[in-house]
Amino acid sequence: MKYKIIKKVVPSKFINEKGKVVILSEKDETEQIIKSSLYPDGTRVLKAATQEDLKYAFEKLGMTEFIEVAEEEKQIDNTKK
Amino acid sequence: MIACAFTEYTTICTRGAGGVKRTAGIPRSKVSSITFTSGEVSAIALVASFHFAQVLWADNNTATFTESEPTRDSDIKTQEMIANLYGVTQATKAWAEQAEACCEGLVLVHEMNDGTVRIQGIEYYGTTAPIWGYTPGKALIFTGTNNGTLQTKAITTVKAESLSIYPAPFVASSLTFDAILAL
Repeated sequence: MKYKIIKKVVPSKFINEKGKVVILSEKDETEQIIKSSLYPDGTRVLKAATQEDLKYAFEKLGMTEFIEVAEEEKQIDNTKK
Repeated sequence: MIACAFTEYTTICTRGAGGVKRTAGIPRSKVSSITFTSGEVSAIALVASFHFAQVLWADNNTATFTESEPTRDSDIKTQEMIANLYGVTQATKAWAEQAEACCEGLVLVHEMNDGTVRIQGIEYYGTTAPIWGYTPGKALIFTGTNNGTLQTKAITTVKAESLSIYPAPFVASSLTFDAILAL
């Protein structure tokens, strides 16, 4: 099953199954963060959520407001019925 | 709605320090999603570019989190976190002013000295949707100052107050306080 991000004005981020922070976006995004030795310029790049991350967020975290099953998958499911 | 049950429970004596060690907070509009597993918070999603900020409370054994019991006439609990910051300075004043300005309400994650983590500002309704929501009385910060006496230190007093129907949820051990800060 494939998953699709429901577009929002500002994307959300979450911790994936591997413990990494990822963003609900089709591409990597740079976000502002407090300057520290880890982030000396006050920014960090968040990796775009992979299909695996979307599956985890949809099925395990219940983030159904943000993720949906891709349309082509839905159609395949309908033809099966 | 959580179903009625009065079940057996045996209290186990545990020794050690109580109270709140540190708190992470964020304006509630920046929390985009919360996941519960077996009634505990197991995941949090935030709006991009916003982060939980940590406050480490003064270690003078005064940081407490309490929930008053409701009465027959009201289902409402008053939830209160009371803590201190050492000193009364421009820095503590600026912190207090900004925290008090969060009139939309906050989501506050309290790490207790016994290692448990609880969230103030949201409540868990049970397994039927909607499974959670914000507390009916939003979590707000109120601050004061006490310049002390000749022998006591100056402190900035901090109170986070909310009104709830259900007790503040626990955070599952799989979601650590530090992981929430790294979000």
